[in-house]
Amino acid sequence: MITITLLKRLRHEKLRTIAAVVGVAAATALLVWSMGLTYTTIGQSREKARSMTRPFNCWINTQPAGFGRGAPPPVARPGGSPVISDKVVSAVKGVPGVESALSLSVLRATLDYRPDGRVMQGPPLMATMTLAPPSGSPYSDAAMTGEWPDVDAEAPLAAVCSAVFTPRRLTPPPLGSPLVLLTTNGALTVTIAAIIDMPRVAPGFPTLFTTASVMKEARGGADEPAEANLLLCKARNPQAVADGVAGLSGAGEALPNQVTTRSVLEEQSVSDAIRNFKRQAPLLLTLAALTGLCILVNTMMVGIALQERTLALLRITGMTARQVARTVAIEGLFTAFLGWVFGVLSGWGALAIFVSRNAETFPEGVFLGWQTAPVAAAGVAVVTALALILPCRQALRIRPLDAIADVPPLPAAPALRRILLGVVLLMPLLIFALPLPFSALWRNILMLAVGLPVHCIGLWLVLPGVVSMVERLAVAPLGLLLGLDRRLLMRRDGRHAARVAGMVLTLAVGLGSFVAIHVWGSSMMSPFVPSRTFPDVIVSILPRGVPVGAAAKVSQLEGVADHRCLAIEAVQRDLTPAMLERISKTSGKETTAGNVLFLGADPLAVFGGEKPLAAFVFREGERLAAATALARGDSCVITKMFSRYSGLKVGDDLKVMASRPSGGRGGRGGGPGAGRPAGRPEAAEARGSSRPGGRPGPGGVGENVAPEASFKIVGVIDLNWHLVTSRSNVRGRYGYSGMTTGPVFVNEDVARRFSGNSEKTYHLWANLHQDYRALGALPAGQKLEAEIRKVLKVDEDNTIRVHHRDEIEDGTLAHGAHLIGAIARVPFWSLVVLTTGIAALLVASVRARAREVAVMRAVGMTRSQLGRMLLGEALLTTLCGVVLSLLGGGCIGWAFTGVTRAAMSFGGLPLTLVIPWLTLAKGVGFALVLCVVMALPSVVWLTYRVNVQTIE
Amino acid sequence: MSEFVLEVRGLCKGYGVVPNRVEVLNGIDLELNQGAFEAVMGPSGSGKSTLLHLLAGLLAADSGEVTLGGVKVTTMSDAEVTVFRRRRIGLVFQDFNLIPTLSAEENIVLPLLLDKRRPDRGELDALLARLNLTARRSHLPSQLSGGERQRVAIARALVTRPAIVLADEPTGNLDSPAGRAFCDTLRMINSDDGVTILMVSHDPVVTAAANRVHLLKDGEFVGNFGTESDAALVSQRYLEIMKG
Repeated sequence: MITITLLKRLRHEKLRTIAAVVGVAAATALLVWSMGLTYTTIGQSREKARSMTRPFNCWINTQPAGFGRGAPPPVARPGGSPVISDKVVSAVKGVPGVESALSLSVLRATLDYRPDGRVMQGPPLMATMTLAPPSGSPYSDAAMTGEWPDVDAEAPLAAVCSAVFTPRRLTPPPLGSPLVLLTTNGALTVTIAAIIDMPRVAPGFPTLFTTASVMKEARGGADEPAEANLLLCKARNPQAVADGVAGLSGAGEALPNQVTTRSVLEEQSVSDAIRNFKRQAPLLLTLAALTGLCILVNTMMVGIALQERTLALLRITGMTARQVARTVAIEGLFTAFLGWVFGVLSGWGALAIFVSRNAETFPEGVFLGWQTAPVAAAGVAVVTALALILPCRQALRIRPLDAIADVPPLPAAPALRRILLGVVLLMPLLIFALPLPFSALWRNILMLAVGLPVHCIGLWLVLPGVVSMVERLAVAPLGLLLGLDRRLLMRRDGRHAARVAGMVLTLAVGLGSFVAIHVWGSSMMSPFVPSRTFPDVIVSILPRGVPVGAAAKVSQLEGVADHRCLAIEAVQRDLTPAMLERISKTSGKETTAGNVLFLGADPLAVFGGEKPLAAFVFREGERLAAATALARGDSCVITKMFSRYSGLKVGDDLKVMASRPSGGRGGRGGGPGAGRPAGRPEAAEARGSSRPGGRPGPGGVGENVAPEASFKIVGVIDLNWHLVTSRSNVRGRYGYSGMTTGPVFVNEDVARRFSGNSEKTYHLWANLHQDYRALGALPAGQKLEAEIRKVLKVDEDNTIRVHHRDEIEDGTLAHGAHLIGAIARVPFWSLVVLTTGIAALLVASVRARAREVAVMRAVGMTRSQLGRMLLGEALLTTLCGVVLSLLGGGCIGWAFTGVTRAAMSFGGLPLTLVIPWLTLAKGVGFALVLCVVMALPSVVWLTYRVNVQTIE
Repeated sequence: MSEFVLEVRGLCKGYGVVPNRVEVLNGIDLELNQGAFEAVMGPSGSGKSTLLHLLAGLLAADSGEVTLGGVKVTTMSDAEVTVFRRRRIGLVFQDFNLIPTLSAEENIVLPLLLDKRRPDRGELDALLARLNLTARRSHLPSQLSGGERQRVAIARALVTRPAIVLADEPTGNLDSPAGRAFCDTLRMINSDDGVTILMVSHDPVVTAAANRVHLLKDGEFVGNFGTESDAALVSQRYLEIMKG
């Protein structure tokens, strides 16, 4: 009876109840939305697989293509990849129910596509090219604009699928546009004659259909092979085709691959969706849980404060403390239940609307997933149980005499010792982030089991100090802003502080997550932002390069500063087993890329003289001495990252294997310079004439060469090298993969000895003249590229790309911002939900101080002043939340930077803390504006609601 | 310009709607001269507090006029009457109604804070000294006795040099000695500073501190008389008039 009576009270506390229900509903809806979206995505897998393969439903692909994410397949070498024999093709065609079987010979190519003339940063666009079937587009269900290219046409025409451009969210260029394709045999330019509207295509399926002459050139002049490496089938029973082909292996047929049916693609799509969800789930679930928890705790605590007198009266009349606590718990459960119901309904509703508005993406419609409701219910139950601990504890402490208390004494100021203890407890999390000598697994355990909980306790303990400090500092400027005396904004009521603490923590969760994600993201990204000490540009001339001596010609161009342009020879070499063991011992992890990237250039120009080409900062060793030593040919300069990773320093020896292991790794994905086939004449010639006079030197490639090469380390430089070396394609050459532990600077002769290339130059280094710098990175690069092409007489067999350091930096930062922004979106929405609590807090605050506020009105406070005072209260609470979120979020962001760094497969990265102040300021500004917006309706309502007769 | 500090004409106030409407005040007329110290007395539910709230602009009248210090209060907007109240009216309540988070001094200067005026330190010190609050100026209300709190309330009412002080059952929460002391304080500030005071009370001992008492019954004044500072006389006349 009492419980029902008390529950009826909720009608009179609509705002608080609504805030609690909305909070729980929002958290539930977030979970329901995410799970429902995953189910819906899974539900589309059949249609997705169909749309990627229509009209075919089974195929044989002998290229080592992966499904879904993963490295794109390497360039298929002509004559190098397995083919599908005529026997297999006949067998497939002979299976009953096979309506069509199209055998194709496909080749992968990289596109040199420059939207708006800008060299694209990031993974290049790829195309799978093949002869255009005379019967027209094999993707008969897809719409096509333009004219299907005649396979025998002289002109280099091509039909392109829009799927080529989809990975980078680009629209295909208009019909008639040129498209530059890079193969191992050179660069080709085709004209787009038709565009096939097919945004997604199964891996390995052709995406570019062209003429015989283009295909011939792509294969290096070889005639079109008769045997195919892709067979596309349409069959009534795909499994029968698979069984038929599998049956052939029993007859001794060595099959390069088996039949893949559409169902495999469907399964992959399902597992992709599940993998996506698993990736997002930790952050999503944590934030949803914290949102619900904070809102519930906050509103429940406010409710107890409001009902304190009533509950105390009930205690006087005979209700036990447990009964009081039970009443509070029932209220909490009731609120949570309402929140769950609304949350599930609104989550499903929002999903249904979203799916209906995106019918193209979700042709199968919405799949709500019956599991979402019970899973959400379980989550809400757990969160509610946790949320009720504090309020019930508070309710248990209500004493009967609280009902008749006159003016209770104010609680004492927070103890300094408690605050200091809180500060101390903040530390373990930060310490565990440091590069201490234990494994990633132990670091995670310590972080999550010890560091994070202790850090949260620390934040709780410092909270009163933070609130007090913020109030002291902020009341004066806030008073000025609002036109009020600062004493009207000071709150010294300890009970009020308890109310505020809940809201402050709530805000800190939402904004703190945002801060943590951005601090983590910026700190993680910082070692990958190219160092400003790199020369302005690195020019790549691929795949064929230009004769040695190009650098001298280019240095005469007016765009090149100080008439200085250097050739770079880039070649990778494996580290010796002893080196690998050393790295493993020093870093505590096995290296996934057991090689270094030798960058050979004239050391006296790079490092020497008054004005070196590269302004690298030497952390160890001396620049001029290093340049002199490098010129001797037996020394090297390494990066600080590699030094950290390996423990090597100045005076140590870097040891590498002198020659490539036979049967080396596949080259880097499809890019130019990805490695020449062993049989190519240029490579053999280059190896044969690697050194003038054929004198074997240290690490020389030759017959009587020592297996190991050793270089004395004469300098260690600070350098963020990853993206400059990646974008300019200096990595992944001569058959090596694109992974490396880092660049090592040597003499150009040394690098050429290793690569066996003494005739060609593929990369150039230069700084831009001041006038060119003033033009900006892109215009300067385009101008320089045109001039280089002209002076070196580079034909269309080669592409010239001028990679400007600033453009690489911009691309890196933009990509990083995009990734971080995507992750930070969730706490953003969480913050929106959490700030609804401000409204309830204000109402509770005024109700708790109803008489006080009425007296102020009676004494002469106008409604406008009351409104500004309440707004000031909301702003002060928000500011406390901001400070706590910056403190906690910054610490957690940095701590997880350490965890991520430790878990990364490549090591040596510095543990830097980068705080993106501008982004954080935007987030803080948004939070402040949001709080004002949320508070305003309550403020306006309360200023008219306050009854001055409450003073009686 | 009126010779009266306070002038009330035909003031009416009711609550609720027909058929449950209650007419609390029915055509109240009242005048107070500058420096007067008068009281309103009546049984519970007679409309005493409602009258005071109407005079202070805390409530809007249904009809009638209130002119205070020559200014028509009843025609002002809420914001105007609030500012007017802050500057020209001092209010003393039964429950002291001090702000618990402000010190005694801050409670006293609250009307000035709201008016963005700096208190004159000399005047403030003198006021505190007169009311024996100097030693308690930085104490919070929870650290003051009942009498001290009520003296803080008076000081708050006086700090702006108001045209009139309105006191609603000011001794209701005080014991007899404290109540008598409070009444003496009121008499002192009336006689020494010429502050006009209108007090509401049901206690003859308290109303005897005033010079004249107006009797309120069922929303109407039914009589008034000089108190001669005699509580027994007040009590006797009250009974006579109420019975009659």
